[in-house]
Amino acid sequence: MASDVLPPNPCLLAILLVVKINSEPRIIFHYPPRPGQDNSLFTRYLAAQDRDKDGSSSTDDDSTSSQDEEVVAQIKIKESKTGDNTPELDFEETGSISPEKNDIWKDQYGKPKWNDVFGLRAYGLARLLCPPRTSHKQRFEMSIDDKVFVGRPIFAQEGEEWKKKKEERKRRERKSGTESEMTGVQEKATGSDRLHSSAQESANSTAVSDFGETSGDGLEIRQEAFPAPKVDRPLMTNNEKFTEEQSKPPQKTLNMFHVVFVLNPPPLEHHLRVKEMYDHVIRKFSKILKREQAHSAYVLREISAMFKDTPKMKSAHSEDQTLATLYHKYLSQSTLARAISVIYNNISISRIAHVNLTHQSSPSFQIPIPTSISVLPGPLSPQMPGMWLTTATSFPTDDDMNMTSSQLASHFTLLLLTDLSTILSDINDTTSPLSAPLTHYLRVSKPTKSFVQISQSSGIPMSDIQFMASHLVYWRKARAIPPLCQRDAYIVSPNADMTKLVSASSKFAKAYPALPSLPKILNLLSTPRAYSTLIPSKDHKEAFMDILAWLLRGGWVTQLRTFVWVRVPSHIKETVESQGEPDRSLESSMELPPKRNDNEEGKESRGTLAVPQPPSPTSSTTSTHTTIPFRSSQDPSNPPPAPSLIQNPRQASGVSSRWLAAISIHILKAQGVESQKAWNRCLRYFDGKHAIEMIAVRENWKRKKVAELVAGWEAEGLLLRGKHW
Amino acid sequence: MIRAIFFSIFDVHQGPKVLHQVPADSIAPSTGSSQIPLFHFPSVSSYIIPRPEYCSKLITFATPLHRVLCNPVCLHSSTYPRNAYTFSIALVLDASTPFASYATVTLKLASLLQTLEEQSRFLSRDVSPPNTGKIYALCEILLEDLNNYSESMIPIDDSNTLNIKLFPTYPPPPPLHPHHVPLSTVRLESLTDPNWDLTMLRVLPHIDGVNSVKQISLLADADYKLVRKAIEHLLYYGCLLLLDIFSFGASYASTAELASLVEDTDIQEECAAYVALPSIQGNSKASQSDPVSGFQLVELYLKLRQGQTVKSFYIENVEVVDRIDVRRFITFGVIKGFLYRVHRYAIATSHTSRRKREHKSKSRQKANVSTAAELQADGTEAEPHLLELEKFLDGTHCFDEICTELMISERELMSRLKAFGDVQIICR
Repeated sequence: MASDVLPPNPCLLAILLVVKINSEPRIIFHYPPRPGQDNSLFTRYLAAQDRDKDGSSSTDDDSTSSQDEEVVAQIKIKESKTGDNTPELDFEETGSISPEKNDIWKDQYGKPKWNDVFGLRAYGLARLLCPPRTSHKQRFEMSIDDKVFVGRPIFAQEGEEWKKKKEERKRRERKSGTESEMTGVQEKATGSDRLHSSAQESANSTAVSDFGETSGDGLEIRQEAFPAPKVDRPLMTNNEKFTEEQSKPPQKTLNMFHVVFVLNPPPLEHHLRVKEMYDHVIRKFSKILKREQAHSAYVLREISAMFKDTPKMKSAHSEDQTLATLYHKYLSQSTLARAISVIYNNISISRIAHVNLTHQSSPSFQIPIPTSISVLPGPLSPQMPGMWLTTATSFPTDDDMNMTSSQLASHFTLLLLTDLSTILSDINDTTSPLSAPLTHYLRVSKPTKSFVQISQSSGIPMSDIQFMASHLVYWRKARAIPPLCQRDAYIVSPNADMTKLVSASSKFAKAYPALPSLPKILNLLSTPRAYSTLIPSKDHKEAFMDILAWLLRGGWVTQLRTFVWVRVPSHIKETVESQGEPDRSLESSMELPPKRNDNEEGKESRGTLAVPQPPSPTSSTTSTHTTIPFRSSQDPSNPPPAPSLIQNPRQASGVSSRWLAAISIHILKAQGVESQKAWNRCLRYFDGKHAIEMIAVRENWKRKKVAELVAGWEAEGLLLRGKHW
Repeated sequence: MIRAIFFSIFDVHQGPKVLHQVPADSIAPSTGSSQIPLFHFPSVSSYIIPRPEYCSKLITFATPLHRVLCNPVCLHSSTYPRNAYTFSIALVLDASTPFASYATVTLKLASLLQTLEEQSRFLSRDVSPPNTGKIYALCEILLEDLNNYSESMIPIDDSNTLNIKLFPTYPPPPPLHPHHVPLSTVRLESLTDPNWDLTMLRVLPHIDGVNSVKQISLLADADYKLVRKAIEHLLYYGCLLLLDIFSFGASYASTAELASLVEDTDIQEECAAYVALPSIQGNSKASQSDPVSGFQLVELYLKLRQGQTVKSFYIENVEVVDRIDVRRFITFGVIKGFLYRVHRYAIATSHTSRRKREHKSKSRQKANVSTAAELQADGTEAEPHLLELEKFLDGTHCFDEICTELMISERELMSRLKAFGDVQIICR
């Protein structure tokens, strides 16, 4: 009864980048600049800087900074304003800064507030966030008061190696080999630990390829398609710088890096929220960073880039201004800092974060948000007003289709969540190989035609359509729905958000000025009837189907679908009984639910209802009225057996399968061969889980034919019909 | 379920050190013990005995299988070696256990131990060897009591007693409206004693799944706000369900949960027992005839639909429905979630406001007075009911709510809506 679906709530407070360089743990970067405080000033400043750079929209705010002359000039002005005080976060000096020195520095210049994280000294926190080596690639979770620090630390292999590297690098590393002193740490992971982590690793790799990402190259194409992967020039220069650095003997060794997400989940949702963030963002991000670090020492390189030419602090300037300049510098110099800020900005408002790390790697992260609920929240459950209420999920839940569960079912279609022109312009902003086919597909796609029908009419292969459709669903541009049809019934969704009715009415009036008002339409949809009865004439059909899509998008209506169960009438049961079988009694007793009149009383008093039960005659008879076949076998003189239902006709066995056979023969006699064939074909839909509206789409039959067949069988008393969403 | 409780201190010679642990050897096994500890203490000791700035904070951390809750305390005094005494009492739980209620226990324990230490050096004077002595006994009793009874009362000395209880944490109750109908899920009468809140005692007899909150406050002759508070308390502890006001004019329809009724004969039986008419009150014919079977009930539930009132449903299926308690039949469906009440909402369309403006200007012409107050009074005099009604006509108030707030019948409401003019009624 209570639904477990909760509204999205990322609870994200900050992201910290903890590294251990030369065995010295430190928080090298965190975003936002002032965790747990009002950061609107910085976000506005940084956004303004971005806007100067390119007038890009929300999805584009993650593009790496181009070295625009203007920005450079601005920074230079700011730099010239700032003095040459020693910044605390100077990477070049990290090797020599010991904790004592650090503290002395702080005492001398007063407590630099901006280096505190949630009022905690960054240095002390860094030590806490630097777990022992045994937690390599393990989930890390620690909380201080109501703040939860979650991460997945990555350690260098023994001897400071980051997986396979070039021979010469290896040699150099060994020369500089600073031994990591892990105080009080089990240096070697036990065999079981290794096993565990490798098992986790393989689980991860399957989990990462979540829905839609079926084909190997699909990942790449998808990630490039939406936000434009701009040619990141600063990265190139970084690369060059890095190669320069390589020629010198390296001074820094990165022992560990750890991207820590700080959350403040409500106490009752602690496990859920932490798990969501870990599974969908933290683990994926950490894996990618590990890969990049092993591949090209990415993390180390980015950290050095971040602190190259750090603007100097000066007390004459307001702290905010200096900090903002500093952050702008970080974000423009390092793709890693940029990525962390993008992840924070998008994930904390439940959006998709698309980051560009390197040329090859531009992953995206999101905590999936529910698109539909099947259970109407009661007054005591968490409310999700406006959420699409349906049991029609795009992914087949059972085995009845010959496709893998990650593909969109072919009898579904796409409902765009914004208007077509917006999506098209978004697509055309990018230069991806997917743009042209996507545009073509979106132009031919209609919410009234299923994927198969679109494929047939446009000639786009089915697999391409499914791939592009799931791509659009992943990027929250569209939603998979059963195709709209004017003959189907749609009702006002019991989950519609009535508080938005007034504002939606005016939007509706603006969008469809010539048509009846939204309240009027909803009034008409208050009683179940075919949608076509609303359409005044054939000329209005298209407009009214547009309205329907609009209503469905806003969660105002939901399809009222019909579900049927096979009803076994008395005469069928009698026929089967009269055929007689030697072990009939045995089988029929197997069909019965276990007798339970002994504990009946106890169970009822334990039940949820404290309202006094009506006195006894009923409770003494409850056991008999479901045991009808049993009773009739005991006493043949009794009235004919009561009708009953067959729950899963596809897996019927024993007496139910004989009932089904008898029904089939009965249909042959009463309605002819055609009807019997259709019955045998449709039987699998009659389990109360498949809407009969879908039969026509799936079997490619005429709707009229299905309606007539079902009505005929219902008239024979063979079906029991129920309607819901 | 608490897996272990342990007490650790910062030893000036040895660093962080586990002094007492229950069960023995569960955290830091003694030399020679073959037991595998729950986790490796040295690698997490920086969380249990952290730097002073992290003391007096609740610190939790997760190991792959367990979660540790502790609240380290650091006391400064010249009497201690190095002028400080740091201790920490920690609870070990399974990693998946919801720990909100254990967190408060940890905080309380730590503050009690701090008080004891400040009063009488209770902790630092206790030099008994590991796993003996007063602190060990305290941990041992705590583990036993909290796991078995969820509460504990331990007398420590003449002036101090430890009283601790695990309070379950529930989500805050949803907002309660006057038209909600509470139904108890437990026998509330059996729980009460004379010390209970007076309003609560007056309210309880009227909670029967029929009366709305507003009606209860009228029947109990108690202030509505107090009644609401009392009912919200019961809601918080999960003693109540919320239903809607049952009437024969209301309509109900099935939800997707209906499949559970169709497929589960146990629920059908439960339903049959719940909706059956008591034999004495029912007429003789009904009691003689067969009780309604679960299958018949399923068929009945499937016949309920949007846009059909209970009254017309009753008339259509009178033969079967006559043999059951219709209200209980509907209520059962709502409780189990396979029926939902189709509420009706009214929204005034733009026409109405124009009509009202016209009305106002007309009255202004008539009265020929320009002061706003008098105009307002004029309007109110003309159509007091309608003005009162208007604020409910934004589509967010269901008929139940409007009728309850205005204390009118639905028939009266309909006639007022008719008088109001252009109003669209939306069933949801």
